[in-house]
Amino acid sequence: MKRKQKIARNVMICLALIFSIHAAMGFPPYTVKGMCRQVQRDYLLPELEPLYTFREKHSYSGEWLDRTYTFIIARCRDTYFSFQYDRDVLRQELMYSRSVDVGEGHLFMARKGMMYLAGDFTGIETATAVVRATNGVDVKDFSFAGELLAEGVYGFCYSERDLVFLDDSKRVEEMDLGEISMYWYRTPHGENGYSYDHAELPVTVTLKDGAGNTVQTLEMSVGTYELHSWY
Amino acid sequence: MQKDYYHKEWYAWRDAVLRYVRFRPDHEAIAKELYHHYEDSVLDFERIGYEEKLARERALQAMGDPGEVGKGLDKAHKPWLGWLQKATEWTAFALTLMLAVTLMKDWWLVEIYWHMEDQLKWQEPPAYATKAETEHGTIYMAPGEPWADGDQTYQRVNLWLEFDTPQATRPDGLWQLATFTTDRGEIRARSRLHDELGDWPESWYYDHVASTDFYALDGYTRYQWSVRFVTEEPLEWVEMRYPYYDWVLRAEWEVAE
Repeated sequence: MKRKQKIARNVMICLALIFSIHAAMGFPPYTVKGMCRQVQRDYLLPELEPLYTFREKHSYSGEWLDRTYTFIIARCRDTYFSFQYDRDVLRQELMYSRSVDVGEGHLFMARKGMMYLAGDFTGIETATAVVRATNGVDVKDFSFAGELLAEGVYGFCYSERDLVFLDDSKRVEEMDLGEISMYWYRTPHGENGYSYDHAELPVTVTLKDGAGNTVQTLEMSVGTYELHSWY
Repeated sequence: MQKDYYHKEWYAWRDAVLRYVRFRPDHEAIAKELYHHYEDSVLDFERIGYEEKLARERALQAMGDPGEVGKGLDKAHKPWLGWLQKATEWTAFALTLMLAVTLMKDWWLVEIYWHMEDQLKWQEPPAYATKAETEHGTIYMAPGEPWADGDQTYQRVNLWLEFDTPQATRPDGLWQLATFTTDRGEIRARSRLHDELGDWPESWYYDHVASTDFYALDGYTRYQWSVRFVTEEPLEWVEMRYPYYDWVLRAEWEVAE
């Protein structure tokens, strides 16, 4: 066999192996378009248009290489979806631990220090979100000014810190929304252990036009698990 | 013979040739091939009566100018082509390792087997099944045999979903968007209850609640499963609707007079 023939044979073997690996991994998508296509099929949607994409690397102890998370907000007509893909060397899959959020008309959800509002914001200049938390005795309102992240997506940053651990020594007045979602929504077990409770916190979003007139007020909610999620 | 192989003159000639060949990984193979030529030539000279020493001298002369031979061999053994072959070999080796790890990781090999098995086990929907087209494939629905247990009536609606191309993941999202209506009003599937209540209800076996069974078949393009309705009075019909599509899938049962 001549060298060129050997190269051609090797290339064919490589292509067959690449296909086999891709098939063994379950035909994972690698582009935002591909990820949307997979969710589109999961939900039997006629189309799914990505509105906002956020990629970040995350390192876990005990893993050699970083993972890449791709968080996407997408729209199918007037329904909004948010989902996240998790990628390492031999894996790229939809994160089922972080469920696909679906919202009709508008979608409001939180992820790792940022709350997101998706919808049609034609004629809207500003968005403000007020989240109410309570421990049954005290009530605390958190107000956030929205930042337009992409067409149809506002972001409300509520925490800059890693929400894995809660600093109990902090005063309640100094706690941000992420910390309160842990501090007020937990049940003690034993001496130092806690389990975190799920609760839906009411959110009022006010959308205003350029002249400062309120165009729309949305009554939404956000889960405490989402508020202190770290992925 | 070993002594001859390391014959000084031959050794010097061979090295002079190899200096012209830039693709070093081929040097060993070229040296062997040249040696065989040389030895054949020596034998030819010996066959016509030359003594060994003279035969070797003549054979080496017959091999030609090392510069010319070396340049010719370098042309035949182009470095870029040689390295390309090596690169494809290494890539194939690395990919084979990756495939082995992929198949062993997370029991994927077992999962692939299950998917293939389920794909082949697919049973065609009955002729009385209602059928609808989606953007990605065809969905069928047919009533299953009802049965009773104490005060409760169990009725299954069987569903078949056939995608037009292989699907990497199970279409679980379907349960978040599908709505079921019965002759006794709209009901919610278990997954919708889960979303609305934020946690599993203590008992979802109460009247007028549907639950999705595990996927009976979970192939690559073919899925089959059932939705179970637990009621106190038997249902006459169930309809399934889906946003974005106008179709309605319907399953009917004959009600005893």
